[in-house]
Amino acid sequence: MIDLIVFTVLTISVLVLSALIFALKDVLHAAIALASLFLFNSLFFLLINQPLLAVVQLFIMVGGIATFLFVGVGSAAYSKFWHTKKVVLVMLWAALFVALASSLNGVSFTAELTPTTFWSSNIASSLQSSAALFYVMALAMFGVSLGAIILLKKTKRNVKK
Amino acid sequence: MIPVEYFAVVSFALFAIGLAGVAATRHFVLMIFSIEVALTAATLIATVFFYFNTDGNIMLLLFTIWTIAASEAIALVAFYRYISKYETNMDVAQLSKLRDK
Repeated sequence: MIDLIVFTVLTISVLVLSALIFALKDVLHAAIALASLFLFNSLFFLLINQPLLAVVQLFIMVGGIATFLFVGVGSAAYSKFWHTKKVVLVMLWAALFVALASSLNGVSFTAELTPTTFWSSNIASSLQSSAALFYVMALAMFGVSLGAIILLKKTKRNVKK
Repeated sequence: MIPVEYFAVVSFALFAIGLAGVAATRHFVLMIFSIEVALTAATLIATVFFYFNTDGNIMLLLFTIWTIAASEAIALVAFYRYISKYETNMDVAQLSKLRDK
């Protein structure tokens, strides 16, 4: 029973926060709503007994959110326009939700009840085959982030001149 | 224990908000946020199905989703450079002007 109450509270929080991203006029506040959404989403992971994935998700998203906050502050001057058509958003959301939820109609998950918790010992075996790909991807992302910083510094210098 | 269907419905609702957000907003940063919301829903439903089915190799999928989510932040910074350089705004309807500059 307590699980269901926590689940309901988390669901309402997550849906309200995701709606707030578009309802708020300021990008910075939208980024804060998104950060809170990630936090509540990681609590969902705890609810299904996956503490490792909850922590990993939270740590990875912290990096993204820090960048979003910086861009949110920096782009405040470029964001002064009416950005979201809320009626279109609600109508599209309803249509998409009904379309997606209709796939659950008539489906029963009877083969469940064998819950598994994901632990760090699973990582090595499941990622072994793709380790090289992730290394290449990580190096590429590192290069791109360095390039982005250099470009930003260059732009700042040009503006000063 | 909470049934799988409940988690699926929440994930669908989140994913629908993400997709609808991409279509309904004109703000570039909010579009990126919408994609993040959709990716969050994807991680949630993938983890839930892993939890109840045991035999799935979920880590590859989750790492891919997290990599895409992290790359978006970098793309946003690189894009912000052009916005600030050419003094345009974050309206995607105005972005075609960047092509002429």
